[in-house]
Order: sequence, then structure tokens, then C-alpha cells
Amino acid sequence: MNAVVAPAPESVAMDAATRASLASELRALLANLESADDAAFASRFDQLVRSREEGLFAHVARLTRQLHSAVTELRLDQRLTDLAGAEIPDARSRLDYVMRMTEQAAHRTLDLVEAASNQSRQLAQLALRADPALAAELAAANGRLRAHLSELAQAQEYQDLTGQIIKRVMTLVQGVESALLELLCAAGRQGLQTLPARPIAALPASGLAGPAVPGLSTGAASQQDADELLASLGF
Amino acid sequence: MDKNMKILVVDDFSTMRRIVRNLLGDLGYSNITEADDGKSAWPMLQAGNFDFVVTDWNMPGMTGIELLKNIRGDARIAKTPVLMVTAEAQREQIIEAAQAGVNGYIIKPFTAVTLKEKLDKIFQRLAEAA
Repeated sequence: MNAVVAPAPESVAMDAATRASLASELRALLANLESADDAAFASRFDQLVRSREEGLFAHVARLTRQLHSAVTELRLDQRLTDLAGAEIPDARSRLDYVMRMTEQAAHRTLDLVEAASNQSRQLAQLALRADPALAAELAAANGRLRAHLSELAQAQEYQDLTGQIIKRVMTLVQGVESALLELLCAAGRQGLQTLPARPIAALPASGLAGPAVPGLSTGAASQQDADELLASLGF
Repeated sequence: MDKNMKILVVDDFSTMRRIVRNLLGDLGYSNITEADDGKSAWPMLQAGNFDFVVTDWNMPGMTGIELLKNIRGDARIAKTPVLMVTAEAQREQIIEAAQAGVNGYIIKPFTAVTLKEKLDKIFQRLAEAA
């Protein structure tokens, strides 16, 4: 909520009377300081700071009231409650399901690739019993089969990359959800049961860019860029 | 290179660990152990005479760059070669890894050819330095 309720007190325009009263207070404070009246200085200084804080609190209270009435007038509360309370958690569960499905599918593919590789090794053994010309042909075919199986396994890399991107989107969505819930609480919305389990600050902020997404990512290096960069650094 | 060398593969995605293990297997390396992040890899490295580390960067617990820095900071295992295999492709990251003493840097998605190239290059460098 900091972004909403913490304007610098300096941004509040002062009227002439406030200005004059503050100036006279400051002159009195300076007089206390110069006459080494420490007790009076401390008390007057505290008074000044307190009145300053009270001004800030009044400002925060006014902003909260304005936020509350804006939410009520725009009838946003029900919409936001639906979004933060049900729709966003639902979207997160769906993304989580996509993660699990792709992971299972990738592992299933890798299981089958490994089984097929074993069969290919058995075939290679059997081929040794064939006459030399046929054996050579079988060995060549088997070699091509194994190359394809290896590429098939490698193609499952997508699961790591898409998984990383989905995790990032889930973190972002969770942040939006927490922010909406905080907004609703601040606006005095009653009866909302689901409070944010984890505040935004607790979400991992790795500062890393993550997998490059074509058309969206800027500054992502290719393997060739990386090789050239490392070479320039003496690698 | 000694095909029996003990290799530790560190990645939080089980799919990727399996793929790297398979690719290393295709290249003849079969003495492979897996860890799912730097935090679980660290005690294994402390305990177990690993000859080579392949690590991801972005992982919960302890990241790959922290793991790399810890390895370089521990005299007993400081010389273990480390190959970073990561989706992090920003220049700053590559430079940071280089400064932390990485031996090779592969950007995901990668191919078997790239993995072989980098391994060959690392072992060639190590042989020259020896």
C-alpha cells in the first residue's frame, strides 16, 4: 500500500497562516538553541515533529477514505473480490497443472526413449549374427535410429524452459493477487476470508532475466554471442 | 578424458537433469550423480571427490553462481571444473560467471554438439594448464 498512502508531506500545499505559524515556531526554536535552553529546545522540537506526523496521518486517513469511496462508487469491490479471491487462484492452479502435465509428458517421453535405446542396443547385438553385408546395413540403420532417439530426448528441454517461464508468470500473478487483497482490506471491505498467504516482499526476487522469449526479451545473448564474449575475456 | 570421471549434474528441473545425464551417457560418461539445487549439491561436493560439475544458474535454495563461488572459495575443491548450463543469457550474467571462475557457459536450449564442444574445450584447456 505504500505507493498509495505515502506521499511526501512536502507535497501538501501550505496556506499563509500555517506558514506564518511554522516560521514563528522555528524562530522560537532557534532562540532556544542559541540561548542553550536545551529542555525548551527538546520539547519544542518534539512538538514540531509531532504536529508534522499528525499532518501526515490526517493525509493518510483522507486518502484511505477517498480510496474506500472510489472502490464503493465504482462498484469495484465485488469485481476485485472475485478476481483476488477466486479467479486468480484458479488461474494459478491451472498454470500449476500445465507445469505438472508437461513435466509428466517429458518424463514419459524420456522413459520411452530409454526403452527404445535399449532395444536398439539389443538389435545391434542380434545384427552381429547376420551375414557381414546385412550386418553392416543393420548397424548403419541402428546408428541413425540412435541419433534420432538422442535428438528426441534433447527436444524435451522445452519442459525446463517453458516451466521456468510459467513459474515466473505464477510469481507475478501471485503478486497481483496479494496486492489486490491488500487493496480490498485497506478499502475496508469486510467478509473477505482469504488473506494473502505470502506478502509480495516474500516472493523470490532473483533479479535474473530467465529464459529468453522471442519478441519479448531484449539483450539476450545467443550461444555464439556468449562464446565471443567469453573469448574476449580470455576464455 | 577419463570416461569414469565422477560428474555432478545440478538442476532444479528433473527433466533437464535427465537430459544432461542422457547426453553425457551418449558421450561415454556414466558416473553421474544428480542434485536438485546448490544447497543439496554443496554437501555432496564436500563429501565426494567430484571431478566435474554441470550446473544450472537459477535454482531455489542456492543458485548455480553461489555454488560456483563456494566451490572456488573452498581450497579442497576449488579446482573442480564447472560448466554452467543455463537459460540466463544476459551479458552481465555471462561476465559474472566468467569472473567467478566458470570453465564453460552453455545457454539453454542447447544441442548435444554444443555440450560436446564445451566439454572438449574445457578438458583441452585443463590438459594444457596441467
